[in-house]
Amino acid sequence: MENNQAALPNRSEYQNYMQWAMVALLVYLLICAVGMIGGGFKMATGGHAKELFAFASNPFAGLVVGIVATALIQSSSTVTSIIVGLVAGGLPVELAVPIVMGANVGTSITNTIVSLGHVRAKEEFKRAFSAATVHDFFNLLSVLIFLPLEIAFGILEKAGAWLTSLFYGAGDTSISGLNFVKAATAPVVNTFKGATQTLGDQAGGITLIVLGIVLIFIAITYVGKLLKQLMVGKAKDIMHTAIGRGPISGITSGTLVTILVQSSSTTTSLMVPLAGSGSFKLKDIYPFTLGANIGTCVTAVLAATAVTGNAQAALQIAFIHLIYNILGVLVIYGTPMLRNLPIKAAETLGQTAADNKFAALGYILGVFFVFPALCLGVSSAI
Amino acid sequence: MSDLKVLTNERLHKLIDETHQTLTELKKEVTRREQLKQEHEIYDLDHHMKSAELNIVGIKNFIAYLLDEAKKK
Repeated sequence: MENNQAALPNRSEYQNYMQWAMVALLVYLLICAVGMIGGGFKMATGGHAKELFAFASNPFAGLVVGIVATALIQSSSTVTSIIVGLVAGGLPVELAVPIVMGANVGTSITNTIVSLGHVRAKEEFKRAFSAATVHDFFNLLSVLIFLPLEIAFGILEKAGAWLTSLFYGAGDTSISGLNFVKAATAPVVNTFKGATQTLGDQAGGITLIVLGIVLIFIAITYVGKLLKQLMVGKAKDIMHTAIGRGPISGITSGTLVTILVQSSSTTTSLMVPLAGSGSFKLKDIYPFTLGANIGTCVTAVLAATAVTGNAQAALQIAFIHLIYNILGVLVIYGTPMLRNLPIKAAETLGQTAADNKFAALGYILGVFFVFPALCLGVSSAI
Repeated sequence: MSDLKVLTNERLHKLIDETHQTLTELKKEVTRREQLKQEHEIYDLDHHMKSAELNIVGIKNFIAYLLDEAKKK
């Protein structure tokens, strides 16, 4: 009996270690996959990446690509990691910025779909749908503010370049001089590169990109699943600490929980049942979702530290994503006039959707697919 | 409060102070209860994590609900 009791915690501890080892392996694979995409893109385009992505030279087209790709893949971390890889392979940063902004918008579809599960109880659905769409409205408002500023002044690109220069501008002590992660991932990346190179530059490069995308998708999906199990206790503690402590604590808590579970969709989707039950009001949920936007940037920054090729530009786009989300919170949440716009819009939409459920379907299809398609059509016609 | 007009100013001020104090206490109690409710929800986070997962069944149920609604109309 005693032996059995002693064996139980050991077994769970062993499982815990195994799960952590699996997380480490998957993160390693994620970083390798980003490197593979970069290498494959460079191989396939042969330095003509700009011409290949000429269709995205229109920032609206880039934005639409980001929205639709993320809405279909259901993971902004996957899309931004792919973008980091592509930038390392030669995709110009200025073309990647609107795609990153679009990824932010596209990722908010996940919690909106989760909220549809509450459809049979009117009041609960109203609260759940509002809690989900407050994230959408915040991200849309953020694009409305920052995309024109980026087109006119390139503020994010400049800020990203400055932040990157802190890591790359210090000679031997810079990130490139001390990059153990790159050294650790190089054997895997080079093996795949060597294997695909036998197919020729173009076919080999495309194969390497596809392999990288599949690997990123698998790594992020399973890391998310494992971290959800491993971190649920820690997430409880963090959220528990944030109760009744104001919005800054909520934002910090949302950031930390997202870093722990490596998925903004998980954090924002978690808010849906909490709001649906009526225990959390929209104003309580809102700061958590803003924190999720910031926390999700960590994956791409991590991946960007180890890519080969244009590593400086890759880190720059990862930092741009981070700066964009931090600035979004500072500008929108920091300005009293703008702060409550997403809440009001979400409440109005929640009420409309609760009265007429077809409005919810129309909203999802319209915002994430029809409107982007129209934008793409109009922008390509101009 | 029909005898308001006969009360002295002193008494009225005392009543106002007491009402303020009661209001503050009531608000505090409401906040405490709301936070307690939130804490209970967070204790149940494992369950919420499962219900917050994206699944095809949720989408199917939503479409079925919409079709039912359309038929009723």
